[in-house]
Amino acid sequence: MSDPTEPSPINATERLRQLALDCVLGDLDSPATASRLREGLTTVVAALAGNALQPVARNALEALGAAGSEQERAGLLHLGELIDGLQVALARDHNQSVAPPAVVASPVASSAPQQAATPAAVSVPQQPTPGRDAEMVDLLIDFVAESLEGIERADTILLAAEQTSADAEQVNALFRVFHSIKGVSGFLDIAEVTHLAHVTEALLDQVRQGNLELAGEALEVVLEASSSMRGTLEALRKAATQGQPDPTDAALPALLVRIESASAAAVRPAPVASQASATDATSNSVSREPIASTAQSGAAAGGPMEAPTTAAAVSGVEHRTGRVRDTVKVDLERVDSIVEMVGELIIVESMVVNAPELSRLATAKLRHSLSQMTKISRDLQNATMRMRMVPLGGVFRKMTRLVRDLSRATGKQVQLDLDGEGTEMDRSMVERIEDPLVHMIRNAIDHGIELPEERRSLGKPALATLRLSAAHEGGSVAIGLSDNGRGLPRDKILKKARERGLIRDAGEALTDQDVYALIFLPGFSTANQVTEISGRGVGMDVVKRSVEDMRGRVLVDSTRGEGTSFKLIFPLTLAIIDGMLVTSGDERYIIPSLAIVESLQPTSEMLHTVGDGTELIRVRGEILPLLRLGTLFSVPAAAQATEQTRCVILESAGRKLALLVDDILAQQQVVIKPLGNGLGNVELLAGAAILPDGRVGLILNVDRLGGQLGRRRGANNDLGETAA
Amino acid sequence: MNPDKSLQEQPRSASGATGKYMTFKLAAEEYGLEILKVRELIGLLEITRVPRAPDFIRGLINLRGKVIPVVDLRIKFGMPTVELTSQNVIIVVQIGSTSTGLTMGILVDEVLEVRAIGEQDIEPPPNFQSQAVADFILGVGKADKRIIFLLDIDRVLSGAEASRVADAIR
Repeated sequence: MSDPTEPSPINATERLRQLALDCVLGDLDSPATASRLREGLTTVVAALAGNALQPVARNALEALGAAGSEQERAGLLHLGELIDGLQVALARDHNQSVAPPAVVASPVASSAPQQAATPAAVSVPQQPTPGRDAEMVDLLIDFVAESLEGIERADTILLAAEQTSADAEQVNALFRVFHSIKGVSGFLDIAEVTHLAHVTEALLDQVRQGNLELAGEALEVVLEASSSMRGTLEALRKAATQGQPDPTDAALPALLVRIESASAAAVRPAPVASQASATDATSNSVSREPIASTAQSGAAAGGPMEAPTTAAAVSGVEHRTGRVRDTVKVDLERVDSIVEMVGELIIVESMVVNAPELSRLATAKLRHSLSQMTKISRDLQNATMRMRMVPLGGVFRKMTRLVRDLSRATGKQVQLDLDGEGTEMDRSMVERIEDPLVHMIRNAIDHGIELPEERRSLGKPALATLRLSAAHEGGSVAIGLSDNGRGLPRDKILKKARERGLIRDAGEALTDQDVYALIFLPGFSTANQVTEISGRGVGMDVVKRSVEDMRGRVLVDSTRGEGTSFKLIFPLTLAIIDGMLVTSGDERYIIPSLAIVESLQPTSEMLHTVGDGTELIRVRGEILPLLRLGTLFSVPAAAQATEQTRCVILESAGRKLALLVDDILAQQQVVIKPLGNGLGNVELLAGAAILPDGRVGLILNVDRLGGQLGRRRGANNDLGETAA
Repeated sequence: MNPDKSLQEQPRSASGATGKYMTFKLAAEEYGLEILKVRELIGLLEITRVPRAPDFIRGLINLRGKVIPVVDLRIKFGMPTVELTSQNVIIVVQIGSTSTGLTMGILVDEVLEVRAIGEQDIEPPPNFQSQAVADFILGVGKADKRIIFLLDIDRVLSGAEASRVADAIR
């Protein structure tokens, strides 16, 4: 076969690249192109003399003849494919001396692998980065987005296939994903992607034709291919948008070899044994062991895992393919502006409807019209809000993949149960929720869940359960993540907190909730060693901050030895919040309802003042720190007498505090507006809103109010200080 | 619909300070600011005080659904404050570029007129006793024997104080 030092195949490759481009881009009806193709192919055939690929080239030349005479587009497309396949095969043949994949063309299939180098010598041909103009970059970005969607679909099918073998329809769907990636990437001249898609497609074709079962090593390599494809595509998109050269993936060549040997393992049903042993002999570094372990863990997971996960994954597929809905792609900006305008409309509407002037001259008919208007504008508001809502299923399904990969990487057996994937949330939040979830799942698997042996010795099932759920709770969305691992180690957390100087004493006085709150402090990490998975300096503080940026809250609960559960509570949307309108003097403020526990009428007996003027309130035996809104904000003419005030109990980060206000006016839905800069230190405010009378109201930042307390107590309690 | 646009279409004067200015009154003196910065004038409306904000921030107003801060120029320039009357006007200005800039209101005693002031009628700022004020003055314009202090409104509103507090918020 070809000698790698011999220049002719690589020249042929270059020539072929040109030809393939001609085929795709050129006007194939023009005689000039056709003759150029013919000439080029003839050169290639000559250059390939003695090479196993020569028949393919000859085949292509013949195909060209047929297309040239009949002007048949289909024939030309076939030719394009042939040249494409030939090019890929040649490049590899030259550089890695691995047998050409069986699918390229029928003549090749008969030329069985005769020679193969060890995978160590393998390298993907270095391809000069194609200079792309803006249009190509746009195409590339679209391609990446589409392909990533495809990969996500593929993942869903593959993960389901781990449980129950994929049916023909699913294998076809998989094949189509890689096939279309191959097609477009070839056009865009992205060699790495084309190669990977090509070999994966080849393997799937074997599966499709019943020559190979999508299980064991075959399934494993396809999963890895999809994972690698995702990484490559994302890197590609990043590089392309920044105008950098296409990135290369060092791990790709080894993966390509594995995929090929997997597909070669079952080219023809009859000589399977000899084929397999030949592959083993030639590519000795390709580990056969994963098959066993896959099968084993599959078997271990088989029983309890099958029901929920598979059902979830399959229903996801049906959801996608079963009912085709007509959709229109709309710029998110437009949707946002409609949402905002409708928000304003609602406010103006309530200003009009509640205008005292109107109520004086209102007739029954007018009143009826007004209430009709109110109803319609509420419906309009709901409809526009729904435009921004997407189900959480997409993000959840990505987590299935993550859990699978992590459990492999850590050697822990974890099953992920999903619940409530249909729960809808504001689109922008769904996007932002992914990173915190990834981080929490990493933490749970890395720190929370024990190794199988340890679990067995504790009398727990070796297979750990991670449960990811979503549900609407009142006006908010609650996302829960719970594991049945070892739970949060109170002593370790305290030790770490002391080392980091987060607390000074032994911390015995701290409640469990206070201790758990420590893990959300910046720089806190209990991982004994920095592992590849988590513990890279970013910790739960990042999770907490991003959740709070979405005006959500994190609750944590844990039982030693039984597991940890996190609950993220988000508003349905970022644009509108439910608030309680309160007054202080002549001023009005909005407290987010999410943070309100209860409100009550305080009496002076309930209040206590300690030392430096710190006030406390006793509510049904519970002693809570007390803040006066009037004092805090220096409100002129705020009520002083306790009997004239109302007390609102707030909860932030698991800690309660009491806020004294003058009066509680009403429950109010408001559109939240940013305060912008230039206002100074207004951290106690979360934003502004336009009230029904057209005036601006300020929204309190309850979490920061808690920080105020910490600051004041800072001298004797470090927790609060750092939390602020 | 968009006053900003029509104003932007006016050709910008090539030489620094020359151009059209909106003049307004603050205490006894007349001030001017580049008309290109002005988006609109609004009468006095309810201003919501922002607790813990710098004192020159008068508060927030609802400008057709947008919440914008209002700066009290009297306080900013260290003048005594007076009761607000129907003469008071909020000049809505756009500072910085249109995409990244801030829309802010500035509260003044009274708006006077829009007038063109030629380069020949503008003198460099004199030495002020207070550096705080001097930083904000582009030049001194002369018109009909009156003098008009021409303000660099971007510096007034996004000067050291504003950027410092902006950093604090971030």
